[in-house]
Amino acid sequence: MKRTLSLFLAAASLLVAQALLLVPLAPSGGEGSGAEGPAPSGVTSARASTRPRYCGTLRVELSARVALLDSAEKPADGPEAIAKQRLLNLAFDPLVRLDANGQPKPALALSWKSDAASKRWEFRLRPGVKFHDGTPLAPSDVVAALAKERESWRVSASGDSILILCDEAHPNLPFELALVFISRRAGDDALVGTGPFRITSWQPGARAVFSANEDYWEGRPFVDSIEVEMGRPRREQLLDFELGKTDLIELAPDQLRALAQSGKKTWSSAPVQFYGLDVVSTRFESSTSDFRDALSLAIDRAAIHNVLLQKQGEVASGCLPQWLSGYSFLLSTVRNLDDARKSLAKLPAVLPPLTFAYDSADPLARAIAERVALNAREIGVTLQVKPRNQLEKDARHDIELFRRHVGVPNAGVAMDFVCPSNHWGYWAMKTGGTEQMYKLELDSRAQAPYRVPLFYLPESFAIAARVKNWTPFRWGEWRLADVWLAPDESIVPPAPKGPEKP
Amino acid sequence: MTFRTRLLIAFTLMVVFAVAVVAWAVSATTRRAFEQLDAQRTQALVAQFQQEFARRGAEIVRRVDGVAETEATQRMALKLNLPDADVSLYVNDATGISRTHQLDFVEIDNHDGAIISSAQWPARFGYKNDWVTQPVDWKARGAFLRKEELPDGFALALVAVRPVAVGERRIYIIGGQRLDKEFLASLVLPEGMRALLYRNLEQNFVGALLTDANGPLPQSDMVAPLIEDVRRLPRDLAGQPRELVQTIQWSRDPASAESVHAIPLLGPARELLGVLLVASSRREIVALGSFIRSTAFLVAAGGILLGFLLSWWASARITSPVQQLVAGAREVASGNWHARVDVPAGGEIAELARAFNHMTLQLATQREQLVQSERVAAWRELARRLAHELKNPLFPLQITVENLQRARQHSPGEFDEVFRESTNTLLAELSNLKTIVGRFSDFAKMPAPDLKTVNMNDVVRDALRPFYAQFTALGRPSITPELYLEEDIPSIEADPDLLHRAVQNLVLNALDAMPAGGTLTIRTRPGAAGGVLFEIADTGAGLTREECERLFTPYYTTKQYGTGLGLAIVQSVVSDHTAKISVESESGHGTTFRIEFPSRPVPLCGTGLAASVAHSPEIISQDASEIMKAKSEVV
Repeated sequence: MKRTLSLFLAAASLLVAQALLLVPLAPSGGEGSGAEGPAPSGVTSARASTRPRYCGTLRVELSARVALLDSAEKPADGPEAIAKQRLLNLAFDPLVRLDANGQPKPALALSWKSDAASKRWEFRLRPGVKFHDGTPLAPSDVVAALAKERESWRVSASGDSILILCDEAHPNLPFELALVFISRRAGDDALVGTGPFRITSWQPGARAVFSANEDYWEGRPFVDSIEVEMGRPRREQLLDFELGKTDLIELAPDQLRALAQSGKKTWSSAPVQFYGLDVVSTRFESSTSDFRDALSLAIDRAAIHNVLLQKQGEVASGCLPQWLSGYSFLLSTVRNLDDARKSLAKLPAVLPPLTFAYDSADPLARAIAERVALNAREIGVTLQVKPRNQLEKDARHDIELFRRHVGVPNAGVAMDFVCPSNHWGYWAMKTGGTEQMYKLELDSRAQAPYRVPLFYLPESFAIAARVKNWTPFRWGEWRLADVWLAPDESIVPPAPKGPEKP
Repeated sequence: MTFRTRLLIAFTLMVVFAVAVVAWAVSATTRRAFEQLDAQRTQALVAQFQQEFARRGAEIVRRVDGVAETEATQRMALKLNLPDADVSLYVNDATGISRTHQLDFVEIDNHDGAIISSAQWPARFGYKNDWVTQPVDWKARGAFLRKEELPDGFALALVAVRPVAVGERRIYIIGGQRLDKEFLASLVLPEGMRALLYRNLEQNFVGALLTDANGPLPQSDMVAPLIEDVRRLPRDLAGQPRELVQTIQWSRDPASAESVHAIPLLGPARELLGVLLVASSRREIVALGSFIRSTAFLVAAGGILLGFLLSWWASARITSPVQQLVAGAREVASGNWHARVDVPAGGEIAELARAFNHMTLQLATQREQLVQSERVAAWRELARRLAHELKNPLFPLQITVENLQRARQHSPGEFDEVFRESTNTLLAELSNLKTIVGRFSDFAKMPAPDLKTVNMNDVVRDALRPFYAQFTALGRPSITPELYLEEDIPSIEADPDLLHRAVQNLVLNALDAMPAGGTLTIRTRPGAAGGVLFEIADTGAGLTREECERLFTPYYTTKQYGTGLGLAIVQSVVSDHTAKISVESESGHGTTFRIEFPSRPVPLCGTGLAASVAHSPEIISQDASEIMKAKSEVV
């Protein structure tokens, strides 16, 4: 009997062990809002997919084309700027990074402090950091990089610290420095950074290959390399994704909805992409504000949000999304054609057709621009929609559709990012809080630049099932150094050749 | 212009006219026939094009049907029937459908006409197409034209509508193709044909809206009148404007012409949305016409040449007898009285030839008779003159001899005296007879001219020199010579002796004409063509008309003791020098002789009579010359 019991227990143990080997673990719920695909059964696979691995190539496709990977060269707003920020994040480090709560945390700088007026800042550098070419990070490298970033900063080295003296108070300097990457020119004039990945291949605007930095001060990334294909239209990105040719793609709003319904793993940031109109024409003179109001009242934001944007993000009534400002819901975005016509009637003369420029690199921009033009036509305003790159060199457009990224999860800093002309965002938030921000934003509406907020959209991505530990920040910043790849079990090794044995 | 030339021109003109008329008639008939053929061909091509157009419409209908029948569309229609249906799910579906079904325009409209999805204007979702919800049996209706609104303007589209009714609410699938250069390029057209499209999207004609398969037409202005005609055309009862046909020549090359059929394209409300221009090249017909024209020109040229040759031959045949008559007449005129012409077979010309031959025969006979009678008359005149001239001296001789015979009866002294007087008289009369005989002998011995270079003034002065004594001789009425000899007269080729004799005879004649004295005027001056004009005038009694006519007749004289040979000698000299002599006289006012010498005598061809005819202005002198000749033979 005891033997029988022993045998039973042994058999049970074997079965449990076999089950542990063969049955995979369920996907972790913390990885994005999307659903994981059905996992293959098997204990071996379960172990492999749940354990971080230092191998593999992560394949990424982007719609934008980044021509130059240099932090000092800042492209205009739009897809290229956002894509460039992501690629810079792979190969370069800032002095300060933001944590998941949007608060500065040490990166190349171990600590920092400022005087009471926030004009003198001192950053102590992390020791032992090396550039990709093996040279150690020196304070002079940081000074050179920061000096190129902002002329108004007086940057100097003091031992292992960096001193930054500003003419005006810069209480949000750590937030700004989170977007400034430190780099230096190597002997072959190539830019080298200290980031988790080093650049091994760079084809401007087409393709980039990053390999893992073995000596990264924060530890080696899990993946061996990252291949980035640039300039891929989103439709082709989706096709490649469906065919398993890529691991990470961008998604348009309609694609996100369809892909999510098909059970693919997707992820969306908080609404961080700010779409709006800038009335840049000078033909309205003192009536520009009235024209801006008329245009804003004529736009059917709800229809665009529901249909074109597939209910992604939110309708923008102010310069910041609700999750950052906390007061956007107080601002009205209701369409009212009568009021729009009344505002338009205040203009001194009949309006000629106006040129409405948009960024042709943004596939969503054209649809939004055309819809805005359609809405404007209902109040008698003719907008000639033209891609910005098709405008003649010296031709001036009247209205511009812009897209800007929040960048940081701090309302005040974000206000200064998305509305760079304001310069009061961080200060107002720090001194007067949300109420002060709200008041200042209302006041700013009567002044140039005359802006029409439209939408805040999230950034959406599709992630292949083998991509693990996909934990980007809420505001859209990737953390690919933490990503690891599960073994691809769909790849079946070729059968041995030779005559088949009976 | 000769009769033959006139006849040839008349015949040639007639032939040219006839050929031109025939060529024009043939060309016009041929052109009309080819125009009809071309019209039929173009009609066939247009019909073929319309079939192709209809086929494309049917193809669009088939594609839209295909869209409406897909499972996705059916599922969409089903879901849109649900309460709180989310139309935003389908906002981009039209774009995908347009790609997969190769349609330029795709719209999915909700049951109320609101656009769910638009391929051509994605931003237009939510706006309503009221026309699609009208009570129209869309399933029965084929493709139709529509003015489609786009973000950047309007386009002309061939569209079809298919409702999809799965539940209570239907949705509408609107699909179509843009009518533009790509559409035209995709049409399968016969060779030599092309299609153009004018999209009537503006109030007035806009050249940029006219396109062919290669894009906007650069010469659109040439089509503008045709388009305007179509726009102005009244519609018939069915609302369909008539088709117009016009030939447009695109360049100076006639082969660039095309027959353009303008087919109005109407929208659902019978509005003119476009004009389809089906152009059929006239290159072949122009080439054919050119070939026919070239051939006609060649045939006409050949016909004209042949006609010319025939005309030449016919005119030659017709005018040959006449020319023979002319030649015969000329021969007769030149003295050949025996000239004869060939008598053709029949007709008026044969009668004329016979009459001519008869006439010349008669003339020859009568001339012989005349010459014979003239000769007889001349002999009689010569005999009479000789008798007269000889009788005058003979009578004194007879008297003197009779006196001598009678004087023998007188005393010797008286006889001697009579004898002396009689011998003197005899000698004088014999001398007179000798003189008479010498004159006749001189006239008979007129030598041939020995031509030398002569100055007429010198001849005149030499000839006058012996007469100066007579002009102022005592007891005679005074003659006043007046010489007007121009020194710059040219020298002429002449026989100075003969001229000397002629001038002296004329001077003698003038002196005889002025028995009561008077003025002898002699002039020389340059004549025509290097010749010299000699003129001698007296202030005598002048001559009557009858005397003038017989003046140069030999032995004709108005003088009591004249021989009538002086002026005959002058006429002979004038004739030998091919000069012209004329006389002008008025009774009571004197007589003037004018002789015009050529620079050199013209060699006489033919008979002397012919030369005389050619050079003497007086016909009477011709007869006189003949008579003189006859008499000189006698002498």
